[in-house]
Amino acid sequence: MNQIGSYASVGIGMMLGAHITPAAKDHILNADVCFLAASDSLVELWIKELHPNVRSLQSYYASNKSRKDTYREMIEVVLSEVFAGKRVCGIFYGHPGVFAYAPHEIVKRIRAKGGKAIMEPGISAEDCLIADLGLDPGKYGCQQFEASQFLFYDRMIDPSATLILWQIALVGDLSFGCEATSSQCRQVLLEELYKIYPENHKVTLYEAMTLPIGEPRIDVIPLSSLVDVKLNDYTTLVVPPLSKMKRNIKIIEKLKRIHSK
Amino acid sequence: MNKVIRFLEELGESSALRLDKVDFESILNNEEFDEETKKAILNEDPAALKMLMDARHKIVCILIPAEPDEEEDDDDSEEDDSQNDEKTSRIAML
Ligand SMILES: C[S@@+](CC[C@H](N)C(=O)[O-])C[C@H]1O[C@@H](n2cnc3c(N)ncnc32)[C@H](O)[C@@H]1O
Repeated sequence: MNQIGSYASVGIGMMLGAHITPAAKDHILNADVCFLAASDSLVELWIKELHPNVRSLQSYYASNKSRKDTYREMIEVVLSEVFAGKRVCGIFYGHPGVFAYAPHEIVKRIRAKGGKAIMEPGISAEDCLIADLGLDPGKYGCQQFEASQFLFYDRMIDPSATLILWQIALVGDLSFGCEATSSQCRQVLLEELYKIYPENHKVTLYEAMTLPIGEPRIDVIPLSSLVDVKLNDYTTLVVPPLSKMKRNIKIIEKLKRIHSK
Repeated sequence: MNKVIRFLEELGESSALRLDKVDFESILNNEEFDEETKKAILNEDPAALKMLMDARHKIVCILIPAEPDEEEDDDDSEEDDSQNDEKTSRIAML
């Protein structure tokens, strides 16, 4: 039997050329085989220039196919190379561990078999969002959810914190496909959000630059317009806080008593 | 490396990109790109550039299912149940 190879899930950040770390690049250059999930087709071409054996994971997506199968197949093909003794690099746009299933799962499964696997962080869409929108997640706190998960499960929203919804274009997709969902699904999301936010609450649609040409998309719209706007699978929704944080007087008093002792 | 990809890589790496105004016109004068490529870059038109580069038209960037791993979730809920049982029995002991 072959010895288990090794594996790194690496992030290449969002923008072509701008965000790749020296360590991520070195993992790519030194791998026997690379698998790639990019979010821009020119980024894909760029990475293919860095290594002679880069296989795109795009072919695993298909209309009318559950993404659960897509991710299972992605994991299997990567693992087959690692278990064949190769040094493998999984290259993911952004940060490989942020709202991404396969990169974590691959690392976990290799480690479970006693193999060596690591994750190399990258600059995520959220990192670009923080910079471009001037938003500090520590200022009021920040909750973030995958948009459909937010609907499928009972979640508690803190209206005094920022809310970020990822994969908003696919909100409410029970089939786990990869196409944008209908405005009816968005309406269901809105009904949930209206329990807390008014219809005219200003929200931001954000799309980070993936190429060094063009501009990021920063569209500020009233919440109610979410039904009509164009959403791409790379759009992220930012809902700013509605109310001020409420001081917890009881706790503060308790702490004061401790400090005065 | 392909000339256009190298150009984009260098542009991405440059501090001028976001802080100063990049004078695409004069940079492009020194590049041996065809006129259409120059035009796509000058117009900052990624879609046109992708067509010219024969890059994939559609790319999916969705990487997470809306639901956590079933197995993991089951494990967790069992754990939770046992913790709850423990709590209940502690309460019962009080
Ligand atoms: C599965 S997550 C993967 C995120 C990725 N791992 C990262 O580090 O950013 C996909 C979601 O990320 C967000 N996203 C991806 N590309 C983006 C971009 N260029 N601008 C803003 N958000 C983006 C969108 O919410 C999209 O639906």
